[in-house]
Amino acid sequence: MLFAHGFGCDQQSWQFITDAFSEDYKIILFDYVGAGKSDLSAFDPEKYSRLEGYAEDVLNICESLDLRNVIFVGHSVSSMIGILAANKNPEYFEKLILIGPSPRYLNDEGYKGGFEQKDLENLFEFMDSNYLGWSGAMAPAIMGNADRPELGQFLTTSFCTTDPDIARSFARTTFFSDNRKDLKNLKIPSLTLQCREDIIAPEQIGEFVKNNTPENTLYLMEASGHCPHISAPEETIKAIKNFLK
Amino acid sequence: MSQLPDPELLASLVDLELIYHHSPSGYLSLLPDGSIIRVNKTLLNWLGYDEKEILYHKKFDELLSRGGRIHYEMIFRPMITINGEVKELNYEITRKDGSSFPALVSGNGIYDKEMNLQAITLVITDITQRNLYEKELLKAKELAKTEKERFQYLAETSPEMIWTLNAAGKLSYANKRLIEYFKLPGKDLKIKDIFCRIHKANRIKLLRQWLDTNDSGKNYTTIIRLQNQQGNYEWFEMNVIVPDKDSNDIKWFGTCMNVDEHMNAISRKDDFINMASHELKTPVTVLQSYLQLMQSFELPDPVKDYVNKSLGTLRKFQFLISSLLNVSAINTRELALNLSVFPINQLLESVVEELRHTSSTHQLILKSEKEEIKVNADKERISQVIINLVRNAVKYSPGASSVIIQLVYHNETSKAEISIRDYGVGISSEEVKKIFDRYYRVELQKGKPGLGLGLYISQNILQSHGSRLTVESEAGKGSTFCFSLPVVRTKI
Repeated sequence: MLFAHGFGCDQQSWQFITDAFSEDYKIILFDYVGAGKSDLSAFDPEKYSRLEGYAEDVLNICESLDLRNVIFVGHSVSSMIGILAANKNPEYFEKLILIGPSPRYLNDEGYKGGFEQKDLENLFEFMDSNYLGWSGAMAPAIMGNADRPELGQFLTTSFCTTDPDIARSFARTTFFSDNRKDLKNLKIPSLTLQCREDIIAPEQIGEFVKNNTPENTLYLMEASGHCPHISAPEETIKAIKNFLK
Repeated sequence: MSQLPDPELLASLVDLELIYHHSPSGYLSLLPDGSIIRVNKTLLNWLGYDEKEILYHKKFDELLSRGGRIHYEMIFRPMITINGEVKELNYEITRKDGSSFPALVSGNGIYDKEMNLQAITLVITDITQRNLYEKELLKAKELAKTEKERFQYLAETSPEMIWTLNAAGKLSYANKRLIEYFKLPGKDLKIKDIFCRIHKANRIKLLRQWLDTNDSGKNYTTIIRLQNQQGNYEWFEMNVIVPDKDSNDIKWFGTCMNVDEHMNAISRKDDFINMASHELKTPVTVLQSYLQLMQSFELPDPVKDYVNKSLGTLRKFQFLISSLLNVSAINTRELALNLSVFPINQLLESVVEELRHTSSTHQLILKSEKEEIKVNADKERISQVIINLVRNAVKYSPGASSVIIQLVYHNETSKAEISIRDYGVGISSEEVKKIFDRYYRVELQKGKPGLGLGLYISQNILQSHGSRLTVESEAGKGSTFCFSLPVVRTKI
């Protein structure tokens, strides 16, 4: 099982559910470039301006570790990254688990992604001033990070050890992507875990994914929010296990 | 204190309920799904809601802006679930009336024994004021950055070399011009590399001036030669400024301006003058001999008078030529002295007497010592100096009626001090520094004829005698030029 974290998190976000699978499966966790303990110098703005860049890295992992029959578990944006990877090299994959997937976040003609351009601008603005807390954003902006490296240090001890600049780039790539036409090409069976009251991937998006993806199962969870693997690990584990039976 | 206070009184001082509701911070408790289950009065006041409008009716994220809600879902909630706390996230909180205020939100998770998240408590701080300060700070920082960039741009485009040294004597800034002039490919530019490119003849003087500024904190200007990338030396005027404000980064601020053209122009002027005066010297001497020959003949009175006048004019002409030749001798350090011991009183008397013939506008007053004072000097050249100074005194005091020439013997130093005082236009303190320079003319006097060489020559003549010409002057009140010569005591 290959677990791919979503935007804003790193591999720690899987800590509540991986134990449930470790007996039956080989568990593979990783951090995307820019997140967690990844090598920040490997970040290439050009490559990672498209989700295909991230999908390439997933395929690299499969190739390097010589993986077969992969059950790919992707949270949020990683659902789409997983679909892109599976479309390109289906031979690696057996099943895909999509937690809170959305092929397009922006509203479009005849499509309700949930976000207007201005909502996202608001988010980016918000992230600029606030990525991981006030002191992380304002203190370096005012005093200049180079002079006071200790001010940036708390970042490395926080939950999301993500570089703010890369996080900004990742957010743009995520929220401006449009992968609706990639859904129909998926040849691997997949499960969509859809939460209630998820403002990032609302229920109608789950419906859209179900209706446009061959061999997709939609499971509507009791859990609310966007991170059921964190807020409702039991239910998430149960749903995945049912699907894998 | 005689007895301990009543424990009940002590307990009544701390009313937790009162503190909770009237704290300067807002308190909010949530279920894991975000539903609000407790709120204090401070926060209700900020929001404009009644308690019952909020409790169990609203979720925390409904109080946030759209971007804030996404951030809350993707970062705040995962972070509090996994880390158990969040610190100082800056959210825009929406009031009942739709307006909003910036707030810092910190939160803690409350867990049961199985470590399941039961509730979240939030502390909310209104940072409207703080935000204003932050904005001002950012503005000030932006302004400082713009100013810095502006000066950097000016420094980079300036034709002068500009640099700063820090307290340790290391280069803390060097503009493009300087780097291009000195930097060798593939090497970092060090102050040592620059020093090696200063002409050997300038190095010691430069170091001395340097140490002086270090002690005195005074700025200075100097002319030095620097070796360019092609290996040729070029003249530069270097200005060194010691800023008043103590700064480790900028102990010295300096500029170097390329004055090679200017220095070469002066040198060409010198060459031309040298050549021209040499060429003039011979025909003038020939002319003088013929006129002197004519004097030995019986001539009609008017003709005799003309010949004498011609010879007088010729002498002035010769004085001019010898001045010009002196300059080139000074430049090539070939000013030879013809020393002899003579009474300075007599020299002064004869020179002043001769000058009286040509000066109709001013009374030349000589105040001399009665006793004979002998000096060992070049008689011709000293008289040249005196003539020069007296002529200048007359020339630059058009409104005055007298010039005072004074000889004073100083017993304690055994020196004869000669001073020439006028009551003329005077010299400003800024110009005083430059009047001994070659070709320098006092600004106001540029309309008057002159080469600007007299003081330069005089100063050099005195310097070869181990003396120095000094000046005290006040603009509008007149000047006093002064020099001393050591007195020789001859045994009789």
